[in-house]
Amino acid sequence: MTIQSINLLVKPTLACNARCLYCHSLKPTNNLSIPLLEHLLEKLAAFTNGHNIANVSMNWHGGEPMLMGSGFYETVMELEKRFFPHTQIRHTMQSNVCLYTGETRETLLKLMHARIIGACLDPFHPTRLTAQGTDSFPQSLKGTLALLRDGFFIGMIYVVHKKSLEVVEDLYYFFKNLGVPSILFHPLEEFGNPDYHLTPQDYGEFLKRLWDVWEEDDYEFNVSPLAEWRRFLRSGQPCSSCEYGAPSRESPHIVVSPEGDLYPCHRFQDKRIHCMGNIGDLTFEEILSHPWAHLLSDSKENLCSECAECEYVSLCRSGCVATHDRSGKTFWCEGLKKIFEYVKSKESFGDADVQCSHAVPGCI
Amino acid sequence: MLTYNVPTLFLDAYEDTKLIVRSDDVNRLVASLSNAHADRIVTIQARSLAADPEALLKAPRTVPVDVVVGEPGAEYENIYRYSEVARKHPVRVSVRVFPGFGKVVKLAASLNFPVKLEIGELDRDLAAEIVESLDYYLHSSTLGQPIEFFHSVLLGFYHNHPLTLWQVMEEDPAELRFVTDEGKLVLSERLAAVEPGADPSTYIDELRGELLAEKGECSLCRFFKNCGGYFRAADRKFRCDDVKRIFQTLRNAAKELKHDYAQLVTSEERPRA
Repeated sequence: MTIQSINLLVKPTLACNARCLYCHSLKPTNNLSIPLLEHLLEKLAAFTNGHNIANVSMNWHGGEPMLMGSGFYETVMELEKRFFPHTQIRHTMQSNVCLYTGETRETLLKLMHARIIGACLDPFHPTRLTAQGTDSFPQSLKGTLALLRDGFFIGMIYVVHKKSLEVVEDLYYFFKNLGVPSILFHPLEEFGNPDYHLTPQDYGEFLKRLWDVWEEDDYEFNVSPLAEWRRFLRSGQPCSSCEYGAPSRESPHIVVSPEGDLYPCHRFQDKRIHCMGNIGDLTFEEILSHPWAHLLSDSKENLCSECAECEYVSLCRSGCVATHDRSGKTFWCEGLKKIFEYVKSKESFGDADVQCSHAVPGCI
Repeated sequence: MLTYNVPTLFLDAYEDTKLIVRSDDVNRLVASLSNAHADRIVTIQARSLAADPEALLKAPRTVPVDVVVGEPGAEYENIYRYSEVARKHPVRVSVRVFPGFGKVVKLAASLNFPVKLEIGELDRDLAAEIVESLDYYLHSSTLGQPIEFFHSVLLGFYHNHPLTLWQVMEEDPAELRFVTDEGKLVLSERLAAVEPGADPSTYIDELRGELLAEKGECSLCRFFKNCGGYFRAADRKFRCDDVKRIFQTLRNAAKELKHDYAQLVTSEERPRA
C-alpha cells in the first residue's frame, strides 16, 4: 500500500478555557512537552522522507489548543524547519477561537498557511460557557469575525441538542449571515441533562426541518451532513466525511494525546479506548501496521448485517464508528433513517433526478 | 486607492486619492477638469439641473458625469439637456427618493440613461413608490439601461454572488469617503451624522459584528448578505418589512430568469424534428 498523505490530529493539551456543558475533554493532564513534540516531529519526518510522502497535515486539537500560547507554536515552526526542510506541513486547528488575539493571532497567521480552522458556536443557548460560567458566545463571535477578516476558511460546527429544534431556521440564517463557508450540524451525544438531551428521533426531526429551510434557500449554504447526502443523491459522488464516507487507507489519520498516546480517532482518545501505544515507543511504520490504525476504514468495509442490508447504507455507511453499539449500528440510526426517508420522498429527488453511480454497494 | 467625493472647493486638499468632484455649477465642474489634479478625477457630479450643461461639451477631457436629481419640484425635465452631453461623456442620473421620484426615474430611463436611486429616510409611501419603480425595471419592455440598486441586487441573486447595498450604493467607506461642503470628512452623505470610528474602512465590518452579536432581526434575515445592515446603520430601529419585500421580489425574478434560461438552453439542445 502506498501512503499518499498523513494526517496527525495532535492534542497538545486537554485543558480548556471554556466549560461547555457537554464536553468530555476537561480532564487533568499534562501538556504536550517540547521534548515529546520534538520526538514526534523527528519520527514523522523520518517516516515521510522514507516513504516520499509530501502531504503532511497537523490538526491542532484539544482541549483548547490556543491555550498553548504563541511560544509553543513558534517552537513548532522551528522544529518544522529543522526536520522538514523540503516539506511544508499543513497546519489546521480546532478551537473555540476565544483566544484568537494578540501574539497568539500573530503566530497562528505565520503557522497556518492554508488558513483553515474549525470553530464552534451556539448562538441561542448557553451551552458553551466560560470558566466563569458566562456564555462564551461574545468571545467566540469576536474570534470568528477576526479570523474571517484574516482570510481564514472556517469550518463551523454547531452541536445539535434538544433545544435546537426550536430554532432551526434561525440557526441556518445566523450561520449563513456570519459569513462562514460551511456549517456542520453535529448531534450531541451521551448528555443526560433532560433540557438538552437529544434522541435519535429528535436528531432526525432536526435534520428534516433543516432540510426544508435549506431547500427554501435553494441549497445556497454548505450545510453538512445534508450537502454530502444531496451530492451523492444527485451525482453519485460518495460522501466524504469520516462518518458517512469511507476513510482512505492511503491517507491515514492518527491522533496523538498530550502524553503521546496514539489513537485512530479523537473520539476514542476522549473515551480512552483503542489506544495503539505511545509515540515514545513506536515508529510510524509500527503505528500504521497496528490492527487499530485503520479501524475507521475497516469498520466501513465490514458492516454489520443490518447495515449491509439497509437501503440507506450508501448514505450512512454505519455512521460514526465511535457511536456504534455492540451490533455495529450507529446510535443515530433511527434518526438518520427518518431524514433519508424524507429526502428520498422529496419531489426533486424523484427517480428521474437520482443519477446514482452505483459506485458503492447498496446505492438507493 | 480610496475615492473621495469632494466639493470643487476642496479639490486640491486630497492628494493621492481618486476624486469625485461635485458642484451645483457646471462651469466649476468643467474648470476642475483643467486643474493640476484633474487626472485623479474619476467622476464629476452635477448637483443641480438649473444650469445649462452645454459647457460640459467643451470640457478638456471625457469623464463620467453623475447628474443628481435632488428634490421635489426640481426642473427635472432639464434632464433632456444631458442627452447632448451624453455624446461626449457617459451620463448617469442619480435620483433621490422623494415623493414622486418615480416620474424622474421613468424620464431618465426613457432617455436611455442608467439610473441610481439614492435612498435617505424611507417611509411606507416612499417604499411603495420604490416598488412601483421596481415593477417598471422588471417589466418594462423598453428599458435599456440598469436601474440601481435593483440591477446589481438582481444579478447578485442570479449568480448567487451577492453584493451588499453598501457596495451597490457606492457607500462602502473602505472604498469611498464623503467630504461635506464644510470640509468635514464623513462616512457618506447619508451617514454624515454617524460617528465613523478610528478607522472608517472597518466601519461596515464592525457594524456587521454588532448586528450579529445582537442576534436580532438582521442576524436572522435571509437578505442580510444582500443588505449588510445598510438601513440599520442610520437607524437601529428601522423597520425592514418593505425592504425585505423588495429583495424577495428581486430574488423571485432572478429565480424565474434562471428557470427560463435553463428551459431555453434545454429546448435549444433538443434535436429538431
